Amino acid sequence: MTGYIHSIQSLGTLDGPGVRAVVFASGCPLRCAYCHNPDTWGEGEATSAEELTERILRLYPYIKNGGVTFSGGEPLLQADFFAEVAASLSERGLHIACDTSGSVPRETAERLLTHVDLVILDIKFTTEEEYRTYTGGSLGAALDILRLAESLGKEVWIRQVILPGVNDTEKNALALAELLRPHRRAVSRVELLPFRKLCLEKYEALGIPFPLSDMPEASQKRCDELLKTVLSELKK
Amino acid sequence: MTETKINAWRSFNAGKWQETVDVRDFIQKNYTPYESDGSFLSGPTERTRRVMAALEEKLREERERGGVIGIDTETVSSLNTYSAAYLCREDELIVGLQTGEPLVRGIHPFGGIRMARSACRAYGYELSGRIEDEFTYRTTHNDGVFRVYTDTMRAMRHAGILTGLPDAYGRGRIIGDYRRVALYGVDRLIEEKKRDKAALGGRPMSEESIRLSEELYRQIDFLEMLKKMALDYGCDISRPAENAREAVQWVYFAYLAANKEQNGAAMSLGRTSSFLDIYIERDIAEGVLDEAGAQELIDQLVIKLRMIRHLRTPEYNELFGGDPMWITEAVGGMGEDGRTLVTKSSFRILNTLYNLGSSPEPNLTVLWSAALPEAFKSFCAGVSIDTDSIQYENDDLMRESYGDDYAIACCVSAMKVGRQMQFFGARCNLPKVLLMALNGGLDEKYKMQIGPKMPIYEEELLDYEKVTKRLKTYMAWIAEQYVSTMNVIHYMHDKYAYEKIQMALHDTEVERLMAFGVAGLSVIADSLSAIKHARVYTVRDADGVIVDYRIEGDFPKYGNDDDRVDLIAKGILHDFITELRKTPTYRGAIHTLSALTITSNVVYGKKTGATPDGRAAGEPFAPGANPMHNRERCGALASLNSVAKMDYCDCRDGISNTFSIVPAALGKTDGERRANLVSILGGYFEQRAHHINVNVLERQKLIDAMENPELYPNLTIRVSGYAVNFHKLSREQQKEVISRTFHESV
Repeated sequence: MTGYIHSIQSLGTLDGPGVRAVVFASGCPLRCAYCHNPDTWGEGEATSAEELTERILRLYPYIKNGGVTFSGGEPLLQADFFAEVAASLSERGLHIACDTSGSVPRETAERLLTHVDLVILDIKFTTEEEYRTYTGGSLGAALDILRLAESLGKEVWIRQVILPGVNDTEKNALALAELLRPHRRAVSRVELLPFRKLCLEKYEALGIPFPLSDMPEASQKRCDELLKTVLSELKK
Repeated sequence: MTETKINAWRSFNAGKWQETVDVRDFIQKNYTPYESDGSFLSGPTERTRRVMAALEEKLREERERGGVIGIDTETVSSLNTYSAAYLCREDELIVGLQTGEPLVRGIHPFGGIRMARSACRAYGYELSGRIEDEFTYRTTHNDGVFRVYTDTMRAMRHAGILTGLPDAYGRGRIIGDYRRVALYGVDRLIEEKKRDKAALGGRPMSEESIRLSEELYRQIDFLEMLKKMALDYGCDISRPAENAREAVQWVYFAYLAANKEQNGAAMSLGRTSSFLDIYIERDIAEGVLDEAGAQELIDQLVIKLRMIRHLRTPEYNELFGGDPMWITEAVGGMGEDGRTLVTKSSFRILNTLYNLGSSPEPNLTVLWSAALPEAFKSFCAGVSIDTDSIQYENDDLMRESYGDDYAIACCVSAMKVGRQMQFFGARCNLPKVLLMALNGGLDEKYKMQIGPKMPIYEEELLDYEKVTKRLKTYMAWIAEQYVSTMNVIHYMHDKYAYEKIQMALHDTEVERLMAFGVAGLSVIADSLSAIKHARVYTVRDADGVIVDYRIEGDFPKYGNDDDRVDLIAKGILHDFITELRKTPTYRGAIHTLSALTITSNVVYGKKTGATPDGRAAGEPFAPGANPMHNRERCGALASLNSVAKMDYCDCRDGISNTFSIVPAALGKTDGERRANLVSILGGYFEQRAHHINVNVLERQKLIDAMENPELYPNLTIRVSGYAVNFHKLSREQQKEVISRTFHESV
């Protein structure tokens, strides 16, 4: 089967436990205003599942105690392709994570998520309105995928990027906790990531304007404070 | 057995080490492997703090005086030419200085009087008339070499095809087995050497045996001087060491004597910590030493090691930036019987980086094995992350060739301690050989005909088959020239600057390695890849000499785990050592090869015209076996995989890789970072890779340090095979280090 990838980052340590190979899938249904990887929106490089598996396995000695993360772009757009790769990697005992925004139909997602060990789900905003405004997608779809992951018995990490003046509020933190509360048995980690503009160069190289170029960067400190709120709320 | 021996060897397990000089056997029969973590470690004692404060004061003075605190221009450095001197006598547990005053540099004219003279002048001193006069009647190593160098050798040296040749100073890379002095005492070693000399006299005298017999005479002579040197400090080292403090002191005296005698380019300490651990364990068991005291001995030894200095010229520093000494100490590793050679003292010597602050010297080198205790691996990873001061080499690989009592000379050169020595051979600039092949033996920069003449490559488009055929011809030529040049250098070094004390601490029948080297591996590999996979056109000057290249299309680049180019790099190393082996070496030395440039990759680049990979004329090479800067597209592990493909069998003198990563790319918490670094090192070495330097730091910190040196006085970073204080690098070298790839994408 043929898939389309943007690149492989051979050393990832943040997208799942341990040292990981991170495969960036090409193509995404969303157009997040703060997207860090606009270079994955295009068609990407065609590769067969065997070839991709082989390339990842070259890194086996380093990642055997870590694993592989499918990121993107949106890996669930190519669920069948990555499912095939995941199946052969699992045979080698590798831990598989899928980093997704969950903006695909549940039935599609299920075909890949059954093969993974960890779902890293980006719940981009806590209201439908903000979600639509800043990404073009829907919160409902993401929550569907959260339910799916839980029903499949998968471990889930939740992520959200904090944008100053948009979702850097206690109110948003409480809302996020509210959304997660029913699923807290599945959710083992929540990460709030500060909005950064490190991707500016990529936009320039692609010749497209960065929609949030005037927005200030968020601070790690603010993210840590908000995370405290989310976690203490979840414990209640 | 004499009474002192009985006392010195009390409670040690017996073995053949008692009958013959065999330190390995002593270690194997007596050491205590340690499998747990570093929680037992002690901080520095008050006494150590005071000694360190005294040293810091001296170091500050040294910095203020432009890097050299003083030069004793009146005295030729040797074992008995200075009287005993101290840093702060009442607090020094381990004593002995190289010259009459702390950090003052000595004169070593036997390697070359010219170098001694110009080094003095560079720092505003004048070599004394008495020494100048005396050396008008003496031949130095440097004199000898230049009496024999051919025109071609001189031209190759001038053009920088062969660079860094040890023809004007001590060749170094020899590791005396300094432990022997502690274990046996000097008298026993003299006895053994006398017996060897007598046995030699029983055979017909050939040139080889006459030379060896004279060498033995000189070894014995210097062992006597070693005793006298120690006696000046009130220590009788004719007998074996009787406790831990004496063991440390005896080893240090032997090492100090080597540095008083020789200004070798790299003066390794060897593999001493687990040896010393045996004495420390015995003292602790006898109740006369506690952990604080054990750490204090190691700390004070390391303080002394950090004070070793040699006088160098500015040109030397341009090649080997940062005033390095390469006091390399190999730590850890596994024994042939499967027990780890990690002891508590392996931790203690790494702990000096915390107790005394991070520092380039001694060059602490962890011998990595998959079987090392996990707690030790994690401890080392933590030290790397905290200090950037250690390097790692693959023990599982080296043990196959060198057994389990080898050490590392300089950066990456393994040798059996006391049983093997090395003839250091600097390196050959391979990209220049390629350019010379294209220009038919003409040097592209100096426009001199150096190699055999052939028409300059005629067509505009470079054809891979034709280019590699030419390259083969010139590689064969340079290989023969290179071996011959080395033979001249080492013949003369043995004749005029023989290492008496270091060789006295070797077996009489020593095995010799001749260590050749290559520079610019990634540049030549990428150049050939470009010629093969893209279209490379020549650009010529008015005389038709090829001076630049125009590339159309893309090509695979070394450092991305792409066999199409990685195997080209691997093949080059194989072809080069194969060619080198065709020319016999002086004293039957075994040919070895390294891919290691230290900081000389900057100078090599400067001396090399534009190359077919798109590198501009004068641009620095990547160091050692590293991929070229910023050509890596697939992240850190793909880059490590490329380097790991180079075959250690072809490159038995070492394959150096310097790896820089920002802390955030290693993980979020300290624990994650340590565990992830252990995974990376384990994965790399599992693939039979040889060496890695690890820097965990932000590029911004280096930029800041370059602009505001006073804020980072002790910033230590790893470069090819050693660590340096960042401020001791030239501005050019600093910029080159900053331009290197820092793996940061996550």
